[in-house]
Amino acid sequence: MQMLELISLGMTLACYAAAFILAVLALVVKKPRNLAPAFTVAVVGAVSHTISLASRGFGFWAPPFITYFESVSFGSWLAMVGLLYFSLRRKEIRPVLAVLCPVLLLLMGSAMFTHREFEPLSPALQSWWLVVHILFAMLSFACMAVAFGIAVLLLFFPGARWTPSAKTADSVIFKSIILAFIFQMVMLVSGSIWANQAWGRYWGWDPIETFSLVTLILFGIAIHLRVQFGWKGKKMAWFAIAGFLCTVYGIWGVPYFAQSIHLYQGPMGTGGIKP
Amino acid sequence: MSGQAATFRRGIPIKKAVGLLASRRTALGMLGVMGLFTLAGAVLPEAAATALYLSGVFRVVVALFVAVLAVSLILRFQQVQSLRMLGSWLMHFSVVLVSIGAVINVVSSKEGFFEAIEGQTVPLPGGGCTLSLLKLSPFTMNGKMWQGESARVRIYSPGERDEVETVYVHRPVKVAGMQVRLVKHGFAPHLAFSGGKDGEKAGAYVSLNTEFGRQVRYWLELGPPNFPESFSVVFHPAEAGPFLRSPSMNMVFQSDRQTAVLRPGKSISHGGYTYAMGNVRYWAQFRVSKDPGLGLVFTGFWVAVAGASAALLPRVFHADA
Repeated sequence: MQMLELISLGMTLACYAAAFILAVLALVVKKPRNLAPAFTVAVVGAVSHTISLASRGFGFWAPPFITYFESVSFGSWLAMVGLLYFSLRRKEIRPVLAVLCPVLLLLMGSAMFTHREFEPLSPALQSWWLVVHILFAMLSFACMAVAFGIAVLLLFFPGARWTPSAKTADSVIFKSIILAFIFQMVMLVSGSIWANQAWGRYWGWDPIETFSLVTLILFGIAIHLRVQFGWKGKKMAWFAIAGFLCTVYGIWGVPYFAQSIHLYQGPMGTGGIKP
Repeated sequence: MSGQAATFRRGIPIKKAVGLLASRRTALGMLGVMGLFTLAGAVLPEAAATALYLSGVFRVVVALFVAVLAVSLILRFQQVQSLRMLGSWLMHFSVVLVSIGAVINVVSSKEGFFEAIEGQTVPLPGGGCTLSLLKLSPFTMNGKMWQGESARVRIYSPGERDEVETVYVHRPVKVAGMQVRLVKHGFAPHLAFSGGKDGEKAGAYVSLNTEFGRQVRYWLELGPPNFPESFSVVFHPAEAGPFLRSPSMNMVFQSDRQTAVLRPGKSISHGGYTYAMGNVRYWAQFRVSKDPGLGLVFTGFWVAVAGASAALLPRVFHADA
């Protein structure tokens, strides 16, 4: 099972890298229709990624997003599957592959150097709230990853033929922020309930908790600015980029800079020793 | 006439103040200020962040934010005419609910810790109830999972309750409006001494701390008045293999730095006294807490999720969101 996981993980990384190269080539020669090969390779990568996560989950008989490495891998998988799903419905979103593939490769590549061994869950972690909590954190990340990809195209390649139309980009970004806001909220609520069960308190101003709240407030401000004051286009794109960076830092970045009670399974394994 | 004019003049600032509090720009500005405070707390060192959140400035900012929301909610309640608007109203109302719950908790929550050795009965804070630790089940590896850390306890309240319950590490029991949860456990070997000029004789179970069973040795400074001499102890639950198969205790006497190894049934002599290690029991630490605002906080959380879903999800599925 472990060999299957390793092989499929390696294939996933290779496919994402190939999808990135094919997408960039298609965009450089200014033939967006040539994005079909990149899309197909990314689909193969996502299937391989699914096999990798499934083999790990069934191998250890635990949800495949408990450790630091697993959560990065699972979040990247969700982001890729989300992008591919939206790309199927709206082909003009496919150029986002050129932005998202390197980001996911970077995240997964850096996670490969962290502690990858599975460690048994301590009793405090054995709760269904764990599944809900992490799942919704990853869903929030996936939404913001898609929004980030589109925001980059909108902000840095505004005149390019293959950049999605301003209307489509704005709509996808806003919808992604809304979904990320709701998912982030469910993540915080489930985390609070679980924290109350496991640690006897629902909120403790822990660095990861606090940064999740920062991210939620940022999404809240963005939604208010859009709904109440009509902010659209590039302004919302900047919010998407800030929201994505906050989400990534809040989930995976904080352990590198601060001690947190969340670090049962930090980058260096149990105990969350600083890298 | 002059009195009416004075009322009128006073009325303008009140109207203005209410208008300012109910303004969307003020609310958004306050949300921004809250975001900045939270961001500062996220990047500051833990001690500084704690000081920030306990400071009067932060409390004033939160109070002002809640006041802005409350005024806005009261004034806009009549404007709620659709499910989407109700969702938005509920989402903002939830912040008020959570804040009230949090304030109630800050003002009136209670927390305490106590320890008990297997077989020991201890009074619970608040009086009236006692808790007896009957048996502690430490965790064991079940396949690939740690499982089973729990404590069988008897909770007794004269004329009201006499029940045997199981307390898990993440599943508390309720006693007289309080939550009692298992926090951690450890080993408590019995250490006895006898000897001296008067033939003194005494002993005690010695609590040795462990963190969720991972740390199996721990230094504990012991000394007078319980024992005739100061010494340090390192307890080994097992030299190899499963816990408690072959427990031993390393003693280092402070007076001359002499060391000795104690095992159950064997004794050592030092300074005219004889030391012996008896059986080993578990001890457990429990946390007792009372958070009267907890229900309000959690209700607020779910209201927020429901409100956000009702207000925002239609926009996701609407083509021209």
